[in-house]
Amino acid sequence: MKKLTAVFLALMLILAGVSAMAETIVVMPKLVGIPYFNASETGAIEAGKELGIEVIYTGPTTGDAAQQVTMIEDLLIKGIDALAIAPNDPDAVSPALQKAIADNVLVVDWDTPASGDDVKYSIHQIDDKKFGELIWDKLVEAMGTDEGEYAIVTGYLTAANLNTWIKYGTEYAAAKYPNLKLVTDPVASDESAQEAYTQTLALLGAYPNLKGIVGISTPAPIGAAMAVQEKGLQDKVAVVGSSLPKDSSPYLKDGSLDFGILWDPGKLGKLTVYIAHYELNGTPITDGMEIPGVGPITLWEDGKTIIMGDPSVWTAENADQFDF
Amino acid sequence: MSNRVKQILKAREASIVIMLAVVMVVAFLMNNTFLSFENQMDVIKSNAVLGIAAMGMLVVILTGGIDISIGGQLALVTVLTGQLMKETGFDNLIVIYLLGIVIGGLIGLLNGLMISHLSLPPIIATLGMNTIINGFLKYYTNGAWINQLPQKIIDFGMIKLFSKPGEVGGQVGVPIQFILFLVAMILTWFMLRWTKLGRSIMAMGGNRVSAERVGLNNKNLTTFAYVFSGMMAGLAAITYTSIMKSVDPNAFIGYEMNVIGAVVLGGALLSGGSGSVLGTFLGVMMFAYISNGLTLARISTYWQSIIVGIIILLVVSFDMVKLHRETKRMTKVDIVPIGD
Repeated sequence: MKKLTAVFLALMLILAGVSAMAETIVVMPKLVGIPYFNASETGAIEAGKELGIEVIYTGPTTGDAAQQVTMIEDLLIKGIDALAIAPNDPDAVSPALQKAIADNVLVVDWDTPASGDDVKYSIHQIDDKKFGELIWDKLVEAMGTDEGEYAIVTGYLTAANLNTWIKYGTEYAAAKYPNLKLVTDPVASDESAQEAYTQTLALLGAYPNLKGIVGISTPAPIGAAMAVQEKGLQDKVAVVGSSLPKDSSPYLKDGSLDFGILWDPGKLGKLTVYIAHYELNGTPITDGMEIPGVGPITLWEDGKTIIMGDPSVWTAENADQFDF
Repeated sequence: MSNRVKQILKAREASIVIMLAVVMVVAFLMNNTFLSFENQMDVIKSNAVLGIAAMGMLVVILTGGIDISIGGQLALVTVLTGQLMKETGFDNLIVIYLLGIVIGGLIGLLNGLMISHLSLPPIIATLGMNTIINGFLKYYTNGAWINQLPQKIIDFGMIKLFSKPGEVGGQVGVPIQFILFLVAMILTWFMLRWTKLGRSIMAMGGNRVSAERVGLNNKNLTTFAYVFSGMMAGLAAITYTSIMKSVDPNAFIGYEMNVIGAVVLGGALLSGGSGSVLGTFLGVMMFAYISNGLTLARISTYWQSIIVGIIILLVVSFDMVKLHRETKRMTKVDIVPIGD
């Protein structure tokens, strides 16, 4: 019996040693169980396998900042090397992130920025400015003219990232396409395709000369496209916006949606794990560095902000190639 | 004021009718398109789901209960039937509708039994049910939309009766969803007005103890109300799929607030026993018109939520003042000297 206990203890020690040696990187999305973050999970896990390290991908089931805080605290007790977080509320998670830093855990943010002081790197999918500008360029391309009225259907009026894109896009349009006229303030659709559909029907009634609609947030372009299709206005009203390719596919094909513009969330998950791994192992991260399966990245002069690359555009031809 | 006018103003629906009229007139003055047949039909089509679900919720609220799981029920039915149609290509719409109603009814039955036989407070029982359903859906669908539904349901959703080509394009007519909404309203109205079951529910909601004393089976009546609500949710769910042509498992998160809001705006009291199909219909239209009318009136979205809040407060205060006056008058009766 004693012998057995000794063997058992020895085994435990070895196991403990092994798990202490292996590198553990936690990637925490805003929430789990939606196609976008499922795709980034696939990418993050894949990177873990390529690098031979442990990647834990976990997050709350709703976009709840308090739950993220609880999860971070549990993970700190478990012992981790790096935490990459997409915070639901930068201020709410800040104390938990500071605690992680005090525990010598590398903290970075991805997808959505945390407060600057809390992170070593801030990994962005795209340059928000370029993204906003590309959406408006595509709007003009789909309208076939840079003159006329258009409207914006957004997710929530309070969503910082959506507002940033709208701000860059409209500022850019005001300078480059002065004859493009935004008819009203962005209309909220509460991240719901049905609400976007309802609001777009009303917009089409209110502004009969409307030539284009920009949908910001992933369900908005879909709902807008449905309304345009129902009114048979595919050829008269252009719809572009930030949508997922799989959901967009039917609408791209029937012509009601002209372009979907987003990025590949799988690559973003992958990039996040690579950056954390390089930083933990002392590999310097530089501007233009090539990340396997992702491509060259941009490191801003602040030495902190990393941009994954240019946004992707979905069309009727390519939308079926993606599984998110 | 003549007695007739007074009587009309006393009706529970009066306040909402007045507010609705104000909203409609303002919206029309700001943009004539508002009252166009095409716009009215668009509004009804995109709010039919809310309307049908509200009919079920009305019956539950009449019993003095509440059904927080309505969003979960809608999501569950859309996902299960959507998955069935996508995987097997099964497209007999009558069977799909019946299946949706049965699934909704079963969830309602579970709710009802928990509330009537285990005496769980309705808000707790249905909240728990909602959490379970949403958890299951999260696990089952991973949040992915269900696309590529059979052409038949897509065509069905596009049906418009008496249709003719619209001025700008597309077809203008009475959408099939309006008919389904009408059916739900007539069924609910008939049940509440003309069946013993419906009268008993009204009576029980008004006063549980008296109802029990006159020999009504409160437990069965309560259970029935939740089953009815579930069945209406099932009907609403397939109607949703017919409009959206795809299923978003997360579409109904937080939807219960819209449904309950429409019923309460329509004059139903959360304490039970008071509320009507007409009032609920007006409540639904109020929600719909505020959003549609304000957009048509070209009012910025930032102002819309402020206006919505003011209108809700106005309607409810109007109701409360009226209720207060009635109660006061009733107390007065007691102090009238005998032989006066």
